[in-house]
Amino acid sequence: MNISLVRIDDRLIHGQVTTAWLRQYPAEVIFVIGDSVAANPFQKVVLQTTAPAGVTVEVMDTATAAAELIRRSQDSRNVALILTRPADIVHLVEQGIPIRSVNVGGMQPHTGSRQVAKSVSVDQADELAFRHLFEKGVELEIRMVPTDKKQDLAKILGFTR
Amino acid sequence: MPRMTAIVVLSHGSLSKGLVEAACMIAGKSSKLEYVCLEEGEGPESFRRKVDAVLNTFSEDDVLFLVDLFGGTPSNIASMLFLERAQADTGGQTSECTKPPVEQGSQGEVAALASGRRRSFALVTGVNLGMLLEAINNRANMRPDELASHLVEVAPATIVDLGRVLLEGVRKPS
Repeated sequence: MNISLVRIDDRLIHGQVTTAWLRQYPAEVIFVIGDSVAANPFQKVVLQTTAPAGVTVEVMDTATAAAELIRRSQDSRNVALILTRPADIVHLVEQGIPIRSVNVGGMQPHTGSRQVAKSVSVDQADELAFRHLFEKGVELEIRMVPTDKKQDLAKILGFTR
Repeated sequence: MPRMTAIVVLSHGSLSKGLVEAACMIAGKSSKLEYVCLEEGEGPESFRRKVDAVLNTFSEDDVLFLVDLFGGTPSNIASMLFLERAQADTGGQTSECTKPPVEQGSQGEVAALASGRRRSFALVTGVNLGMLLEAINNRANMRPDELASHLVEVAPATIVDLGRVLLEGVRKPS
């Protein structure tokens, strides 16, 4: 499958994603990836019943996502990956999934996190994961909606090559 | 006698606040009518806490959620609450990961159990002022699920291509 969008958003699929992002980055399939969301049957039902028309939503843990993306590499459809934590993207990249750019759309503050941009708060683990992605040459950009100007998260976090 | 169903309007931004204020302008002040606004940049967890806080004020009442947009965060949070409520009614065989939050077992739940019936939830998307007024006017004599079907049935009538209807009225020979 061709990855059209990789987005970190703890709201997962919501109005901005279905109306704005999928219009700009069309995908027939959305993978919602995360160990906790995959373990929550209610959330799975909600995500699947509210899928936009013509889009299949699959909810899975990180290991399954990596395996499925490899297994379906010949599938010609576009897939959008929605995740909540950058560490999960590191896992995918380490499994050889080709990810060149990550859109950061929403990370709520939590214990131990610090706010680095409007709607983006990261803890140490997130920062390490972002640094790892940056070192692999992955673009890290903050935008809530596609028409926003890209903010360079690597620059904000002070990463240098 | 059916219990009076509480109404909670959920929306992006201050739409829900405005709808409730407008409804009060037309129908007068109404009890058990609340709203919760998802602020810009607010996450689902914070929004859910606000909804839970409102639900706790209704104790054992049945609740109808009216939400602005199918598939948006307010709709998704209400869906989670609805499914958790439904699961609790079918025996409560929740696994570790799906345990409802700590608000469970509140005084309201206990009171509802004591009265022989648990509170029930219903959920309708695409709220507008006409729909909200219809809900307020019918909530005393309908269960939440009946109220939800009724609203979906009458909602199309609140949306009218009025210009066309007026022109037809003008052209009609009297």
